[in-house]
Amino acid sequence: MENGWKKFLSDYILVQAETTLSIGIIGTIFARDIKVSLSYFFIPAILGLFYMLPCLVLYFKDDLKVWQIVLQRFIEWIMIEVGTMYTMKILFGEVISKAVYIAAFISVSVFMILTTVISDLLEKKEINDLNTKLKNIREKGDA
Amino acid sequence: MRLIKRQSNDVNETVITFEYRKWNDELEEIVGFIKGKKEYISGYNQEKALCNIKVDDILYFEAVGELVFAYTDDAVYEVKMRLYQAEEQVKNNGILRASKSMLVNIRKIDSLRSALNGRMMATMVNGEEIMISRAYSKNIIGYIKSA
Repeated sequence: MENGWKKFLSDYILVQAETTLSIGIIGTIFARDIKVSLSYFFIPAILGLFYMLPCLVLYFKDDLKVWQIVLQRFIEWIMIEVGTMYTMKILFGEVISKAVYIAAFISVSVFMILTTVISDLLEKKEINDLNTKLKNIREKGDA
Repeated sequence: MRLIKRQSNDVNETVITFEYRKWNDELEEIVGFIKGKKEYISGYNQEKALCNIKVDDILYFEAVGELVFAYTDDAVYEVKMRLYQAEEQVKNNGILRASKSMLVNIRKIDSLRSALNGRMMATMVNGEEIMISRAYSKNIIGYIKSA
């Protein structure tokens, strides 16, 4: 349980950093001259927590069934999209056009898919390396 | 350090001899590992007869309720101890925790494949499949890489 909270906290800090970076990039490109209130300082922290909520189950429940994992990822995707769109509306409002909102919506989806694909590929590579090692271990044992 | 292996039909048991100039921590560690390896554990077969089970033949241990079973290629034995006790006894034989209710013999894994959410599926040499949960997969990966 304790390890779950530690991992959750360290990932939460990472998500906050990523959120701050993406808000900074979008703002710099599309709304460079707007003025924002100091209270917006807390947006990454609140947004980060919002994004992490559907992931809580991953830190504390060990073995999820396939449909549970698919459901969790779907909810995660919805919450990231909702959080991103809402934050952009608060920060930039009418300054940015609908096209920017649509672009942000698509890019969130694309990056989520890319993350899944890349981590899947890296996992497969690691598994192949492990299988080679296992073969060597068995051959040594049989020798 | 050179490693020399010599097969001989004249010996009744395996003998390990160290030839050294000066005894050091590394040799002490090797001795500790060899001594820590358990050769046999006791268990009851399906006829309820007490048997000595060769640890290296065990594919995996499974806890079902309060009972713990050791599975080999051709038999199942009930082992009269808790899973954590079995884990302690056989950890030097390359048998590691795979999930809350299973220990798996790494040397008896034929292949691994990734399952969703950081888990792995291990196919044993007899074709059975064991799920390695996310919490324990890192430890198993570390063991395989360092073996």
